Amino acid sequence: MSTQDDVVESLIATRGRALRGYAYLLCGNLDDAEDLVQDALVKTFSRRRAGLELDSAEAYVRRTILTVYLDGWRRRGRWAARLHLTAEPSQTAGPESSTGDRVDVVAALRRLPPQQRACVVLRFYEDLTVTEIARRLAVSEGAVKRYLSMGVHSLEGVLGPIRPAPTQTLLVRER
Amino acid sequence: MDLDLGTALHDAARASASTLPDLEPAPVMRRIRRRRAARTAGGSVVGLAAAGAVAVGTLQLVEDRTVQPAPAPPATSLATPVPDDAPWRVVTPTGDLGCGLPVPAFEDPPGDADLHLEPAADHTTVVAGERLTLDTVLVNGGERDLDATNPSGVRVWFAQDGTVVGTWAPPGGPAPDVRLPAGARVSQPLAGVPITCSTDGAAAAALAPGAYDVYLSVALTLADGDALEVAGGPLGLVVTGGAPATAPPSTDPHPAAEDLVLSPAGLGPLAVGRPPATNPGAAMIEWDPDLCADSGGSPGRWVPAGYAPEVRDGEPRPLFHVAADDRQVSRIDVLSATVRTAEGVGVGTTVDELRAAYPALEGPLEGPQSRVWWLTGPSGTLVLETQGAEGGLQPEGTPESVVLMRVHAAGTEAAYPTASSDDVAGGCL
Repeated sequence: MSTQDDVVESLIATRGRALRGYAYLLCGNLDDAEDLVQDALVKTFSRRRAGLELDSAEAYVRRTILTVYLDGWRRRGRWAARLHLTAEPSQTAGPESSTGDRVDVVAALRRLPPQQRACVVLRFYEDLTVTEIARRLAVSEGAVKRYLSMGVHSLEGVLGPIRPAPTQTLLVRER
Repeated sequence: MDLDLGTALHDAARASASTLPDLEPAPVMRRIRRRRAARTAGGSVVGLAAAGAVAVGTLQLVEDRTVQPAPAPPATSLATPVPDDAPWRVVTPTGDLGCGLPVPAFEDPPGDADLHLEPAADHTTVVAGERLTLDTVLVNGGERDLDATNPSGVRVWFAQDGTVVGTWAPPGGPAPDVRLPAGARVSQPLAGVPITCSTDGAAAAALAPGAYDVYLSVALTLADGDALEVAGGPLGLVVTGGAPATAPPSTDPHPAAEDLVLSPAGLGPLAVGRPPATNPGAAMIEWDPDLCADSGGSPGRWVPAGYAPEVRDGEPRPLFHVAADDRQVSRIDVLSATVRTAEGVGVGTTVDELRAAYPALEGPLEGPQSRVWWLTGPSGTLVLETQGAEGGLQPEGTPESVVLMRVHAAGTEAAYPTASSDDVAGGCL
């Protein structure tokens, strides 16, 4: 078995849950999150990549999850049957929570348009800076600020005041 | 207490993942290896050539030179566990795909469909009236060889708001045979000028500047006479207006105020008809989330960035005003005398000077407090409003002169008066 395949299998076994959690925040639906992660893994590793290690493998996949998610939004014809683009809660939305907060956050996030949702997740979940988000999404920093501003404003309408994101970039793994 | 959104999101992600069984590596690895085989099967040229399976005509077999040496290809391309009479699994439209019709949903079988048509990129840009190049790939991702004819090549459709509004003529002549072994892919580099759908037999025009979704389709006739339609897309296309009618292209993303040139295409690099996020003049504008918060409508507007306000009528005023949404910068208003067109026209230019500068000037449209003139370009319209001393709008003795200039994106109404009103680009009301 090739070295790359060993890395990929290890990534799936050890980080599969974290990747699905990230995908779930983006698309708000467990079934779609599962598909999103699988599609991203296939897209990422169908090409051989030199010097692949677990950390870099996960970074590749996370980027691809984001790209596939946003492309899925643009490629409406292929994803129409999945209805994950609507603001309505999906039929397999997510787990019941013992507190209302967790479900409220996901429900509120699901109501955001895809690019606002992506910016909020990258800023508050991935702890990226505005500059890093702009580079990741290939848009201007002004656009990122706007998406963040509108997204947070919408979330605050549902969740109440939100603490500003930290100004430093942190290297974060799943807490 | 303010919500710690980061912690809340991490909790939510963890909770969601805990409800699902562990992701099994084996099925994912199977898909990965199958995809690698599909990408590299086209490289076994010797075997395919020997079988006479290289497609002719408009489809050309791909050699994927970027892939490292792949596992050995199947010993024979003809062995297949799938019965010959089993229906093909295809990404296919559920309705007709054609001019003037709503874009139908695509039936996309789970997993990697046997046959699918893919654009090589997710988005692209072309200047209106110029040739667009698209790389597309027809993939036979299944376990059965394809033997078909392709009478009309790959068709390309351009849609806006869910309706097909444009196309181009099919490239070249028909491809007599398409033999695509299981796991192989063929590329079809397409090139043509996007045109509008012609409904009355008149000559079609070049597709106008704007944002479109591009869809692809190819009709195949199988050896047994059955027909398949393989579809793909959308990919995003932005048709731009190209070079401004009168202004030279600007390479500075944020020119100084005195260097800004207004034209039917926009203000300096700030182009109408293009999204703020990816606009060449993106650095010239920024989002003010609090503007218009007290107006009763939705708060937030795009405003000039890095340009000092000017004092006009005793008040600090923005150098320009802009109206934009996610899709495009739709309008730019200039009331400043600093900004000029390439011909030197600006606020204060007399009507005689204006007409001399632009022999093709259209108008005037008589408004309640101004006269409206305009110049139409490929991607937008430059509007100039003039006022004289009549009605006390200007000091007595003032010759009729330009009092404001506007640029509107193509496809938006432009020839209407706004002078001395509250109608300003990006206004709160």
